[in-house]
Amino acid sequence: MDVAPELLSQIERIFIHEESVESELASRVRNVFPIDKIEMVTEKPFSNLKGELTAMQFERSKRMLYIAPFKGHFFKRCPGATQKKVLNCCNYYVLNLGLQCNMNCSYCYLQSYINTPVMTLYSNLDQALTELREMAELHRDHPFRVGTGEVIDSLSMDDLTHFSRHLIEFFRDYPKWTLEFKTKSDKVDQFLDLSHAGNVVVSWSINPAFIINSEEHGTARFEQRIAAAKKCRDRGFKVAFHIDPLIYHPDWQKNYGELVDTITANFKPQDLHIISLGALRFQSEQRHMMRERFGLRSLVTSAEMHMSDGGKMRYDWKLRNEMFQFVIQRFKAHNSAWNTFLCMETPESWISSYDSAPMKVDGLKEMFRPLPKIKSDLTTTNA
Amino acid sequence: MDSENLINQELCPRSQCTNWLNFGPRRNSGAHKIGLALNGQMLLEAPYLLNYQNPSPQVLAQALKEAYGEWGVGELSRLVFHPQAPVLFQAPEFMAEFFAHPEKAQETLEKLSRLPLSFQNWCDEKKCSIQDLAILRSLDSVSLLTTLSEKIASSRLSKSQGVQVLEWSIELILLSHDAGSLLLDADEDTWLEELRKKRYPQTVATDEKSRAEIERLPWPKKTEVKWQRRGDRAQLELKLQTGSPEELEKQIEALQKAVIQWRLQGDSWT
Repeated sequence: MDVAPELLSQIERIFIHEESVESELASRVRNVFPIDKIEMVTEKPFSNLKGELTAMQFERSKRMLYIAPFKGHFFKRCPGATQKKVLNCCNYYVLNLGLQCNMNCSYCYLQSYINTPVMTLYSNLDQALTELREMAELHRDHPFRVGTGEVIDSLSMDDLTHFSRHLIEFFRDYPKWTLEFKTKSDKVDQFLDLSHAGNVVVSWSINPAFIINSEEHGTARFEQRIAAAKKCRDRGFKVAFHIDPLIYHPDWQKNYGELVDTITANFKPQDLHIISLGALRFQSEQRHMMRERFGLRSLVTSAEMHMSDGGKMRYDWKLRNEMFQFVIQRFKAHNSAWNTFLCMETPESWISSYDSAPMKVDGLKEMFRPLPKIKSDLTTTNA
Repeated sequence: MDSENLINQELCPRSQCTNWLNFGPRRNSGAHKIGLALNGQMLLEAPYLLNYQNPSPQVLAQALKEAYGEWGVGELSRLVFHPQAPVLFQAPEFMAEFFAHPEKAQETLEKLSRLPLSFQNWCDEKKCSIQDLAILRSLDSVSLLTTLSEKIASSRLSKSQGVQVLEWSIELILLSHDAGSLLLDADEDTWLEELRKKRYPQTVATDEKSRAEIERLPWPKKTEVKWQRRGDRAQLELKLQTGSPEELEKQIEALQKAVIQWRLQGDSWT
């Protein structure tokens, strides 16, 4: 499968670390990008930069690709696990195969979370799989969920990396474990031919077309995401939707109502592994970067946000719950079998939306049941 | 060569300085000038002297800190962006001696250097950090802020209030409000409240509606009720005084009636 022309033109410069020269990824990069864009390096580019990136440097980082081996633990717990006092956690683990995203959402938390002057793809996937195999052999029968879309979109550059193919093949050996790709792209064709163990979830962060068009720059459009999800469903992959972040705007009820209607028209409750909901939230300090990059014309930067108990800026608690209730009820109006859950939300919001904590909600109990700690819990990420 | 060695050498007599960078007035002392000589030497305020032809930006920054003590952001903006300042002052390595995030700091200082001296002094008097002024980077040009920043400087706003006025005002300008309409001829509290109403119109309107509804409920005697916003939650604060179990029982009965009516009013935010 060819690499999307948008990606080829977006990347202005590619730096390949000398330790990655022989990797499969570097080889693919050399095959698809013109040679004059590629430079071999012995250290990370722009390493003289100190402190946080400016808005301009952050913009530039999306056009600079760095291929290098990752030197730490690939496998980490989801940031939600570190905030158990204020959030309900769903036992999610993350496998980071790169850093920074080639898409450009106004609310993206990477704007306050990462400080890399280049978009990085790790060339040592084999090492990640070795690490994962060690964990999987120890806990083969526990239902661990592993996602690759924490600090990089799982699939938006997968036409270049083909990481998905290696991961799907790996997870065939561990049918009780679940692999989750999380994306805002429609790049799925590169793995649809693979056989799998029925434990691969392809999930889309999705919003109404109006929000995608105004806030999710460089992503697949609404219809493209729905079409890609249908392709995956038809090939037996589990599909999930994260309606996250819910963004308040004057027509929010109409637009989120239509979003739910489109999902329910195209999928059956049993087609969808998960539907999660989350409302707009960000670290307070992130507002500066967002404002500098997107001005105040964005529904995100102009929103009325307030400091919440967990230290993040959120909508008023009642507004959040009104939005959650609306979406949940809209699903239920179609069919009571539709199940949703809240992501990165407080116990109070859970109880307000479901009259219950997640541990007591049918269909979610398993997901929220605490699992044994594994070695890499010591290396939790710190969002 | 470390900064101590540099600044104690007699390299250049004061009379040979051809150019003086005046970045005063200063918050902590009267020393507010740096002399530059054609031979590449720099006369810091007596008794310090510095050859700045080849020092590293780090050494130069250290020397400036030793000679002039603590630097306020206003003072530093005037020095770094002085029209005749050596380009070395804008090197990230120089900035890194003063700030954890030198590239962002440089952008902020550049904006601050274009604002009136009275505001720069206000920032120094209030000990504003570079992060307090991060909002300045949101504007391509700070020319619209001249009157506003002068008004902040002449007000009795505390540091946090002044920084809040600045942030809300800039956001409102970016939302196409006329900068002049943000300058109220009112006391500081009213000014802040009016800006909050403009920046958070829906929150303020919803809170006011809820407050009015709450106050109309049939609360028992000796009860104080307040509708208070704390962060992302607005909620009822209820204070009740009671003198006997019988009185408390009556109050609880009355409270239950108030609760029923409150429920009837609905709970929609939008």
